[in-house]
Amino acid sequence: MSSRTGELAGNGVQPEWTLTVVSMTRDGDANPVGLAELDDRSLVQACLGGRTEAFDLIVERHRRHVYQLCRRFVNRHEDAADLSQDVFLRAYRGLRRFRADASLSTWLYRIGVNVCLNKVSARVPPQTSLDDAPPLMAAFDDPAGGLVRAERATKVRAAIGRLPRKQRATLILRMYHDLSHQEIATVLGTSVGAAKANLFHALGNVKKLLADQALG
Amino acid sequence: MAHLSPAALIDLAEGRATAAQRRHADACAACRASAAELNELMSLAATDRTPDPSPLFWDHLSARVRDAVHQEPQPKPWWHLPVWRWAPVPIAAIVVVTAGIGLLNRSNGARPTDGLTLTPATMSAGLADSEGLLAEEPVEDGAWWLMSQLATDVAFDDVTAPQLAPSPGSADRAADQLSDVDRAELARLIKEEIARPPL
Repeated sequence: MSSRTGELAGNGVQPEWTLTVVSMTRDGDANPVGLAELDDRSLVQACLGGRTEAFDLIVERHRRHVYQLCRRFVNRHEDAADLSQDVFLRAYRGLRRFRADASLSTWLYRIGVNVCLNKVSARVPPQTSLDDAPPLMAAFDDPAGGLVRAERATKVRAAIGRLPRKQRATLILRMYHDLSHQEIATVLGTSVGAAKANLFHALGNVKKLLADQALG
Repeated sequence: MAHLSPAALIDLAEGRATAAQRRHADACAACRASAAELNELMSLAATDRTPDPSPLFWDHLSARVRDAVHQEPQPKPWWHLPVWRWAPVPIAAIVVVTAGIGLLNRSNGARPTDGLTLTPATMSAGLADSEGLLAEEPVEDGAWWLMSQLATDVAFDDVTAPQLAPSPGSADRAADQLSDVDRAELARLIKEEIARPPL
């Protein structure tokens, strides 16, 4: 809402009227604050109240993190896009189960991890297409060092793809999404100590898998 | 010397160790080496950055989600759901609360025999009272009323058949609780009953 009472420019006349701009919702209620200014919880409430456009804003705010999480699990852009859509659709369906005292991003991470872990079977090795290889431009900046780094990154990604499910989820959330151990514990439904232990074992397994690759 | 746990080693590698953990690491080369190796592995993992899609992709994703969401029914808060979806919860709560209040009243209510001294006068008065109880309802004590209603049609044989008879020694214990006067009166009644010719 903006309320403006001011001096008209130029003539110095003080107006006797006040201009008030009030946006209206679809239901006809006065909405003094635009949706874009609402926090996540208020957007959820607005969505539950019938304003589906509030969910567009939720998607806009969280789509990058959700996509990157999915991409880490499936390594293919097309699959990650499909999974991201699935995550948001599940979130929409379960919006009334979202607890107001929780963080929406943590809740979305939780849905995302479940969707990805259901999708990624331990028996199916992660697929990597040419598009998903590390960018070659990095190699041209420093041909020798760049190629080494690119090759190493590919090996690390492959090793992470072979980790047990919870270790993989823990490592991805900690290393690539910078979630705290407490947040990871909430997402995975475990304790902080278990989340740290998972990370410890995940890193140990990555080391072992990299050593196996070097030998193989 | 016990080494640091995996969780403590992660804390040490991330620079979040407690003073006690740091003191241990200062004295323990193995834990120091483990933490350094974890640190190195974290740095290695961090070199693999998630590739970003085309900038046009984000709007495309939003549009896909929007289209999918429009196919879905509108999510509603729980109180907008059909009654059969949420009504069992408050109904169950009401039943539990009501049962709890009933039990509380029964346990707090005066027992029918409280303060009753067994004399011929009180016994006959009690019998008269119980007849009155059986004859007229309602009464204040719901538990007593229920028991009396249930007992109305129960014969002594019906009670003993399912082995609901008093346990051995309960008559002796009841006699012990009688006063001397009551005991003398009980003895007189028993003698009178024994002396009565059989029907």
